[in-house]
Amino acid sequence: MVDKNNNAWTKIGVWILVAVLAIGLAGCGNGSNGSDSNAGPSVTASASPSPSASPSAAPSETSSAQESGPAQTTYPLALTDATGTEVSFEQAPERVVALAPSETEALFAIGAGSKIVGVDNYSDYPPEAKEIAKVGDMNTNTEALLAMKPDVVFAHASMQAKVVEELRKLNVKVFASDPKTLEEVMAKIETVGRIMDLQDGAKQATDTMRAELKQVTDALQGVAPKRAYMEFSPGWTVGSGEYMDEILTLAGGDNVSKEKTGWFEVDPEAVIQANPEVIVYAHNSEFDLGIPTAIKERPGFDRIDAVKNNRMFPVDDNSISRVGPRLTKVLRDMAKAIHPDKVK
Amino acid sequence: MRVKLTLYVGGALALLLCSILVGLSFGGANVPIGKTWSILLHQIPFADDLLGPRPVADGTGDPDETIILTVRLSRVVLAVLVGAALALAGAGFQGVLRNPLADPYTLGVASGASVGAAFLILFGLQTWIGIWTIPSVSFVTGMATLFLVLRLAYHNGKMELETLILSGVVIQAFFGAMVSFMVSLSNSVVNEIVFWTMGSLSMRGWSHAGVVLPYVVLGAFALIAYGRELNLFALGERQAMHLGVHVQRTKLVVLVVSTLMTAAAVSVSGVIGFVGLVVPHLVRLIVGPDNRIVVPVSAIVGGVYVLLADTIARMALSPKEIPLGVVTAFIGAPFFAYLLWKRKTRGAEEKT
Repeated sequence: MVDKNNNAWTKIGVWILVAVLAIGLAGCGNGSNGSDSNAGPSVTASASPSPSASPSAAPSETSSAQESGPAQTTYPLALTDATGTEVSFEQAPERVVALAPSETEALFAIGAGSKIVGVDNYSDYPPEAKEIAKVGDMNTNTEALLAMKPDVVFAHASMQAKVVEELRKLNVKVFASDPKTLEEVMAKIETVGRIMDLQDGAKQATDTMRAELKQVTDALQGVAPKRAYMEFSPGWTVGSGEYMDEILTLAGGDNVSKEKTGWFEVDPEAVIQANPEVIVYAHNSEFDLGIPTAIKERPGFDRIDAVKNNRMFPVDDNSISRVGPRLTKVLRDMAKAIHPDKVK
Repeated sequence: MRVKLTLYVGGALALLLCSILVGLSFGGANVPIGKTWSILLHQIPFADDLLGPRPVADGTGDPDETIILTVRLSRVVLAVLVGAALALAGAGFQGVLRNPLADPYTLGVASGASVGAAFLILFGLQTWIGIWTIPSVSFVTGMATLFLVLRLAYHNGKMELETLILSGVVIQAFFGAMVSFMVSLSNSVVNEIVFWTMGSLSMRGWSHAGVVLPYVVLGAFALIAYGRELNLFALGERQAMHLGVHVQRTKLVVLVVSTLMTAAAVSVSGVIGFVGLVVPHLVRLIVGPDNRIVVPVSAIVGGVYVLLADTIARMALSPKEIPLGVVTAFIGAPFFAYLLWKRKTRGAEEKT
């Protein structure tokens, strides 16, 4: 009995070994050309945020406003947020919780970093944000949040609709935003500035953004857009109507997926047919998304001009995926990648 | 029996051909159907003599040709192969376990494979050793899971059916929880793990089809060869043994072959449910319980099923692609219910 038993196990073992070897061999054959194709141009350095003090001067029409002295917010302040809820403030909030990295970045950009008592797990920029107490991911830890006794919670309206609703039931003051365009992102930052009574800080932040935007649009004046394809997450791209498409277009790209709307999984047939000249992809320095390797390995993608001519460029994953103050920096990086001769 | 076999296999093949025609005609790139077919027909050797010269200057610059031959055709072929593998595995498991609820995933292969894939995705190792990282690792973890399940169920040189299915359920629940845990740890914008566990044939190529092909061919041969034994299994293991069947050997071979096919299919396509469960039942309802016919017809119908489901997945909500596993379940479950209901109202009482 024991012998028979062992015999059967040996058989199973051999079967499995054979199968594993078979697929392993197939894997190695193709794997080798996959790994060295990883050596794309390393533009990680340029993707990292440039110093916030932009050398370019603020546009002249805004400087006159600055002379009229620091703008003050008058309280009580009543605002309607992106969920259509009216939120009122009796005084400038002193204890703030940010539930999205974009909100954390906006608060730091206007100089409200010291007022943040809690952030979500994904908030990692600027580096100081990592030191702040965490209140959970998409599922906010309500107890931890309540214990922080925030005067206001900033959240993303569409991504965190449920959390926002739940917090409001608990009488927590929530201001949710959902900017869909670059202009709306800047407007949001200014609104946050009004709420926090830091309008000057907000103005500085948006002036920097406007200057960066202007630098790109000036440089690309009259320049014909290039057919461009954007992959922000492995296998996913963006169509018209989203801020990422707007950024790509502003950067002198002609989004090959613009006829469709929203975020969607890539249709490889459509991309090959559109034959983009440039591919822009998200690159995360701490987490290998593997997008360029995947693109090169996809059947038929070797026929795309951008792949043939190795015109594939990384942009910082965190900057491009957050509707925050770094959007114009990533816009500039993207414009440099698409039109290296025009944008310096 | 031979007449019946020819008839059903012929019918299924005709259905497969129609589905391939449909699958090849639709796609995200709007290549006119006429051009699609001209590209395809010109691939047949000597077709140029019959059809005249190509309408477009020879291929190198024409993206449409790449789209049809490299992207669409390979996807269609892969869909047929994956479907055939899953349906064959389903027929094998149901036959040998004598359990109508057995399907390629009962023994935990899919959840085992998912654990491997989820782990790689979570830690950003998808391209660690090239594009074959996920397929090979999930294949290995899938097989390891089966080994674990068999080890649990094996006792004194025997495998009791109830123990086997229970071990499968237990392991599956445990690994399912592990996958969910990794999903909750992941913090990327689009949750790739979830998408992997819902199955897709997008952005695979000829090499993926090449990986599945040998498993399907060998598996089909093995299961067809064991068709007679599987028929006797339906009488019960002891009766089958009295009739001269090597019960343990048959069980082992059919289980291992079926699992290999499942693991190969899962490793390239992710988890595509319902095919292995529905297709053999469907075929049995139409052709009767004879496994010598059920097995080959299931393979073809499985191919048809996944191919049509994939065409719907690609086209229904374009540009969004519906996860393939969702489509197979959406079509499969109601259709299966309809067949059951129809059979009940007819008053037929043969057991499947």
